[in-house]
Formats: sequence, structure tokens, C-alpha cells
Amino acid sequence: MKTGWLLVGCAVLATACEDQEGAQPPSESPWFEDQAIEHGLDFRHVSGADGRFLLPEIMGGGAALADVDGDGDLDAYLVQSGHFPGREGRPGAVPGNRLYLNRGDGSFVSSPAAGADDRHGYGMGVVAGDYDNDGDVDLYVTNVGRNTLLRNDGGGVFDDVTDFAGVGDSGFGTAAAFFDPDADGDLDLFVVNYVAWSVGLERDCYDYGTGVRNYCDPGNYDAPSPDRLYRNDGDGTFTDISASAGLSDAAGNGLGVISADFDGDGRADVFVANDKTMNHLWINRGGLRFENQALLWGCAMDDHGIAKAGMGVAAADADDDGDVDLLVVNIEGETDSFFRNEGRYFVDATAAAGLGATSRRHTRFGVALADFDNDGRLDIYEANGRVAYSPEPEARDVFAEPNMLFRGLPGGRFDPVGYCGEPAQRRVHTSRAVAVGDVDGDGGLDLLVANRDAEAYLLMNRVSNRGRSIRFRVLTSAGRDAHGAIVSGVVEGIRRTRIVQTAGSYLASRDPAVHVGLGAAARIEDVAVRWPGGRREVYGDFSAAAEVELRQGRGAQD
Amino acid sequence: MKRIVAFALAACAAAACSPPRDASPAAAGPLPVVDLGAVDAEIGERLADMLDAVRQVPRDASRRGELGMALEVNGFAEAAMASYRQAALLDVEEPRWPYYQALLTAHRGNLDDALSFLGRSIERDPGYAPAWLWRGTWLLDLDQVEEASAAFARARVLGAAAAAAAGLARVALREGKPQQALDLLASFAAEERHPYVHKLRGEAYARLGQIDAARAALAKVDGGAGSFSWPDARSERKKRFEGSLSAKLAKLREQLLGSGAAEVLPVLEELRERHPHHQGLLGALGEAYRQTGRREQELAVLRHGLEHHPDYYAFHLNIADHYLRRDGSGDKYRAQAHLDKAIALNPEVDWAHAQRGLLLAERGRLDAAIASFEAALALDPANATVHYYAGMVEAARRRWPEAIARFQRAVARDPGFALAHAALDRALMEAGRHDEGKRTLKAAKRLGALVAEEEVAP
Repeated sequence: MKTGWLLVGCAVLATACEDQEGAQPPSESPWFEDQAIEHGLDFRHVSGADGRFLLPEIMGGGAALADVDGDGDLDAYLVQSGHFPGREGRPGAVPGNRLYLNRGDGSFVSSPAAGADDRHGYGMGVVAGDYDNDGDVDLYVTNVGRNTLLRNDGGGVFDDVTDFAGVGDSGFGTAAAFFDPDADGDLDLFVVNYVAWSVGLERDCYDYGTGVRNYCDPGNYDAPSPDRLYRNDGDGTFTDISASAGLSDAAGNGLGVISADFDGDGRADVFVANDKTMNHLWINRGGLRFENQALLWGCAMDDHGIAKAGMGVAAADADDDGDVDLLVVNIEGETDSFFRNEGRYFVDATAAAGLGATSRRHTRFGVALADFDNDGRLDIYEANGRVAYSPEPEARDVFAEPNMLFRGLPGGRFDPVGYCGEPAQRRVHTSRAVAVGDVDGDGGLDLLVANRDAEAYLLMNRVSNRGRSIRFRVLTSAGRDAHGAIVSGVVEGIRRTRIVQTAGSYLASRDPAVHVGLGAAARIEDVAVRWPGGRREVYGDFSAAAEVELRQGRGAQD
Repeated sequence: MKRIVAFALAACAAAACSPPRDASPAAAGPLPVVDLGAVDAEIGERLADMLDAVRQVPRDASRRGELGMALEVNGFAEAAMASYRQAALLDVEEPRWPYYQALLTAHRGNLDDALSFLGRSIERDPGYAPAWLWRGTWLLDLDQVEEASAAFARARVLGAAAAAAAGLARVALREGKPQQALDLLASFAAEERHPYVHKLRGEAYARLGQIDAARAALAKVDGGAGSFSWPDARSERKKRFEGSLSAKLAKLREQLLGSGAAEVLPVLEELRERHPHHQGLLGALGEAYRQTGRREQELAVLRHGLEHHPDYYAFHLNIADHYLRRDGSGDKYRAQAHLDKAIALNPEVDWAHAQRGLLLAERGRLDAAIASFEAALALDPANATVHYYAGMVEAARRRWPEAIARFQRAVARDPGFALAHAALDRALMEAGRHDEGKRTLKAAKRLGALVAEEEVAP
């Protein structure tokens, strides 16, 4: 018995003093506090794992923060996975996806009659966007099986319009992005597939080290799957233009997607993070044609020449030089990849960013590049959880790992805050999606984290001495969030640049509103928006405030 | 029943939370905690034996170190670290133990401590080039560029010329000196260039704004560069402790790819006695039988595999391949049935569609054959052979413009494809495009295609 106590003591001690490079002193208060249950989020993800080691079981689930009922606050949507048919004696049916409406104070109430539960497949991820330009936010849910487009009727009640819209891709759907590559004012849809997989194709795989049964590596299937580009036809329907757009030139084991104008030509490009196949960078050539230039731009693989296990992705101007950098998170033993944009190519600046060591320890899926402490610099939150069995687990769940937090430093560097700094209660689960948004309207960005076979986290921002902030709602002339628009403004002499986007991370959809931390500054000056297509408007100076609307056509032409 | 070998780990708090430090041999300490029930039984038995061996001679550094090696390759990283630490304390001359501590610590993301361990290993043996290469690599990952450069330079002096040159090229790129990187990479003979070298060259050209040269270099990266590794005898020694079936199979598959089927076969057969229905093992065994010409045994193994894994498409593909190579009554129909099943299970294998197209063409189902070839080409548009097959079907239908277009695609994708040139010539002649046909025939002859008329006759 004494031995047992010694072992427990060691584990606790190791947890408390995890020796992270550059970790902050223990006196620093936690950045986040998990308030899911207190705030009414009682969603529990079910992977359906029943001993068959079916690949999708280790990959879900998804999460979104979006204002679906149009009342000005962020609602929460969580994607359920469930069970695959074929195993007798499994538990009964699992509830579908869940929508929770924000009461206005950051607490939530379930909305089971919203028609958003989607039971058309094994749920993976979600992305939000107003595809029909009717002023409310619609949802696109990715599944293993038919994906689902849920059209919002305006009050947060949804209709499944997938078949009518023609976007029910039936592959192993993972990430998706609404964006406007032809700048025609409506949102097109990019859908990422993982591998060509079905229950019948599952293989017996065993952990290389321990020899025990395990989930297969995607390479075992040797079946990279093509992605899809759906053009919005403006009448509620879409056309699959994947082939004519050039997407059939490359296939990969896709898990993450994000759209941004990487080459600064005013057109929306797309980056796809692939798992152990080379990443794709689809540069928009105009006319809805794309060319994969990942190799030429230097983001197909990392500095070591490895096509890493790319999962979540974030795109933002992390070094405040005005262009869009990329952060891709990967599996245990591989570093994050921080690709710094140099205008015509990326430099793998992972080491220079300070991410060349610490990030290796865990398997990272979701990722958020956002300013949590409102000092004007972007920080990183990484949602972690293994895919491989460990005989030395960190928790009862052998795949569970602690999530990580990195503080942004000047010059595009990051410093691990470690585990001691967040959250208040150290949570260890198998985390997947992470969505960002200020759910209680207090000026601090909060996080919604989906955990495999566990309750979600709602991590409320508790950063002490948090700076001021401003939140811009950037809307097209039609009144929808202007995906791809770039907002910039000067804070204490530094021009901060932010993108309007919902996609990114892993299986997640974030608040499209632009959040800018102001630090101690009282205002942001010379605020400008570059709209999809390249036109620029200037909106002037703003004081720190809860929310400012920047509508297309109402600024001064630059 | 789980067997847990647990001993007091009195020093664990210090080990877990403090940076590495030396201590007296007396502190080598107890055995690490290992849950042997968490691994394959065979591995568990082997580890238990090694734990017993250490228990019998607890101050034997080699036993401790080898236990660490076995623990590491079989998934017990924490326990392996403890064993390496104990071995390093017991034998302060041996460079391997801190070396292994360094590699494992780096994998777990703590490069500062990894470099500290590596420094101790280098102190004990400064002449081991891979240690300097790792030092350079990790220092680059910590953005300590000058020190990394010095480490790679040291590795070059110690004989690791290629890996050191690649490392120094990375340093040059990091320092914004792409031309210097290109100069360093020029030391690689063109035919010896690892895809990673092409990747570095492509990046250097891109940064110099020489986009065409960058594209040309990057085209050689193809499916991915892959890690630029170097021979590391110390790490190789760990492999002999790999105990899992997966690890063994991976090694055996490598040997199979290297035409070592005769040596591998008895090992696979022995493994099958213990794992009679293992999908991967049966697949490898079938491949070994095929390579050694034992086709009936191959078929028997594949059929056994299908009995236990009826929806595994690769067994269907391999059985189809088996029948395609035979010429007995009904073999072609059997082959097609398995191809159909394989395609239904996994429609992403172009070879299956192409073979199905050939079988359908043989049976005169030309429209269906063309559809199969199209399916194959959708998966691999650059496959000249399938374009050629499709052309032959169009020629059989005397649809000369379509046949010409197919053959032209074949030769465009493979200019050295003599049969396709000859078929194109024939199709052009049939279409009355005699001048073009003559030019094509010349091209075919230049390629040395002494193609008999009947070989290309539709």
C-alpha cells in the first residue's frame, strides 16, 4: 500500500510542476475556468468505440460558436458521433448533435426542437455561414457518410436542405469552410475528406511498440481522399466544381482547412492540412480555378522534409507584418508547423517562433490563434489527445492528454504557459475541436472544446489584468459576415491585422467577429477593411467598446 | 490477469520534475514500474525476463541500459527513461545511455534537457558523428543557428558529409542565404539526391525568385521528401528489442520489398502458427509465397484471409492477380469477380479498374471496358498504359479519332512508350492522316520499337 501512495504522490507532483520551457511562475492565475456544467452545457460526446477500432471513433467530435438566433450573442453547437452498425449488444441510440442557445449572459439552454440534430451519418465537424444571404447563420455538418446542410429559418430553427442544395458528399468528411473565392457575394463551400473508408474496409492494426490492438494509421488504408469545392449558384443550390477548379490534381488525408488570401492578390486561397500526406495550398487563379502550390510556397511539409500528421490549422497575421501566416498542429513527436508568410513563399519558422520543442509532447488536434489576454498579440490554445495507445496513460482514458496554452510575445514568438497556468481545474481528456468566441460578452475570448467520449469544456476567460478590447462585426452590404475580409487598425503604433473567418482549427467553427486586444490603449486608429475581391474602405478610429459594426459600402473608399 | 510489476520508485519525484543531474551509483535505485498486462503477452514475457535479469544483478549497467532499450521500443517511455538514468549512473564511461536519454527526451519535446543529455554522451565519446547531427538538428529547432552550424560542421569533420551538408544548407536557408544553401547542396551528385535535398534546393530557388528552377527541383520531391536520416548504429541496436507483431511485420515487409522472400518466409510461417488469422501477417505471407513462386500456397493463404476478413479489399485484389496470371478454365471470370468485389469495397485502386477493363475488353464488352479505364484514369490521369489500353479498345471499334486521342495522351505522358507510338501511327494511317503517321512511326523507330504489325493491330 505504501508503494501505491508513493506512486500517486509522484503523479500529482509531476502534474503540478510539469517542467515546461519558460513556464510562468505558479503565482500566475489560471487563464481559463471550465464552466460547462455551470453554464448549462451538458453535452457528452459518444465515440461508439466498441472494440472494433473503427478509425472514425478516434477522430471526433466537432464544435461551433455562432449566433444562430440572431440575438447578438454566441450560441453553441456540438457534433455527436454515435455508433456504427454491426456490433450486437451496443447501447441504445445516442442523442444527435446539440444546439444550445445563449441566454445573453454566457449561460446556455438546450434547444432540442431546433431541427439541428442531424442523424445522417457519424458526426465529425461543423462550419457556420450564411450561404443564402438571408441574414441568419446556417450550418454545414460533416459526417462519415452524407454531410448535411442545415438552413436557418431566421430564428435558430433549421431545415435539412442537403439534397436540394446538392452538397451531401458521402465521404469521410472532416473539415469544411465557407468562403467567397469568386467574390460574387455569396459563400461557396470547400469540403475536406480524410480517407476512403468504410466499416468493411477497416483493418486490424496493432501498436508498433506494445503490440496491442490499436487504431490504424491513415497510411494503412493508402486511400487519400479528394476534397470538394461547391460553387454557390445563388438560388439555394450548389454545383460541384471540384474537377474544373483543379482539385482533382491532388488528394490527401485531409483534416483541417482554412481560407485566407495568402498571396495578397485579393482572392481567397485555401490551405488544407493533411495527415501524413503533403499539405495542399490551393492558390486562387481567378475564374474559380485553383493550383496547388504548397511545395513551391514551402508549406507542403516541414523543415525536416516530413509530411507531418497535419490536423488543426489556424491562419492569422501572427507577426504583425500584414500578411497571413499559418499554424498547423501535428501528432506527438512532431512539432507544430509555424509557416511565416514572406509574400511569395512561407518560411518554416517554427523554431524562431519558439514552437520547435514544447509542442512535440502531445497529439494536437484543435488549435486557436487568438488574443486571450488582450495584449494585442495572438496566443495559442491547443486541444490535445492521442490516437495511439499508451501503456503509460495520463488518465483513465488512455488517449487523454492535457491541452496546452502559449502566450504570444513580440515578433511572432510564443512562450508556453504550460499546464500550471490553465485551466483552473486541470482537465485531461481526449480533446478535438476548439471554437473561439466571447460567449459572455465581457471582452475576453472564451473557448468551447469538444472531448471524445466526455463532456465538452466551456473555458471561460479568467485572465487577470486583461487588456481592453474591441469587437468588430464585419458585414457585407447584404448583411452577412464577410468571410475573408481583412480588418486592420493601429494600436499604439502597431498595425494589427485580423481576418473574418469561421473555419479553421479542427472540426470547428469560430465566431467570425474580429476581436482585437488593445492592451492599455484606449482606442484603435485608422481602421480599414479589405473586402473579398480587393476593394478597401477606411472607417476611422474607434474607442474600446463591446461591438462595432463595419458594413461594406459605408466606409470611405481608400 | 494483469501482471503489474511495481516497485517503490523513491526517486520518482526528483526524476519527473528536476532537470537531469548526476548522482552516485548507489542511487541507481529500484526497478521502474511497468504494467506488463498493458502489452502483448509475448512482449510482456520478454520484459519480465529482462526485469528479472536486472533484479539478479542490480548494479549491472548494461542490463539496466538494455532494459531501458527494450522498454522504450515497446512503448514504456517513462520507465525507459528511469532505466537509462540508472544505467548512466552505474557506468559513467558508456556514451550510449545518455545518448538514448537524449533521443527520448527530444521526442517528448524537451530539447534543452535533451541537449544536456547529449552533451554528456559527447563528453564520453566526442567522435560519434550522429550525436553531432542530432545536436545541430535540435539547436536549429531551438533557433540557435550559430551553434547548430558549428555542430553540423563538426559532424562533417567526423565523416557525416551528406547529412552535415544538408544541415548546413538548412542553416544557410535559416540565415537568409539561399545561394549558399545551393552551393552546399551541389556537393550531392544528382543521382544520389534524397528528395529532401530537392526540397531544400526548391526552397532556395524560390527564395531567389527562380521559380522555374524551384518548380523543377520540387517536382522531384514527388510524394513527399521524408526525413533525411543518417546511419545511427546506436539507435539500430534498439531494434533487436522490438517485440510486437506489428514491429516484426514491418521489418519483414521491408525485407520482402528488398527481395528477401526466401529468408522471410520461414519466419512468417512460424509467426502464423501463433497468429493464424492476423490480416497483415496473412497478406505478407501471401506476398512471400508469390515471390518464391509458390502460387498455390499463396492462393490458400489469401483464401484463408478472406474467410476471416471477408471485406478486406486487398485479399480480393491479390486473389484476382493470382487468377489473372493463370490460364485455366474460368480463371478470368474468377479474377473479375474478385476485382468487382475489391472495387466495391475500395473504389480508389486504379490497378483494379484497369485490370477489370482489360478483362471486359477481352470479352468484347467494349463500352464497359472504356468505363473501367476511365475510372482508372480518374484516379491516375498520368497512367500512360491505361490511356494506351483505352486507345486499343477504341481502335478495335474503329473509332479512329478517339483512338488517336487516347494514344496521343499515352505518348504525351510517356514519350518513351514505343508500343503507343506504333499504335498511334497505325491509327493515324487508318484515319487517313498519313503524314502525321509517318512522323509518329519515325518516333517509334527512334525509340527502337521494332513492333510487329500484329502487335499493334487492333
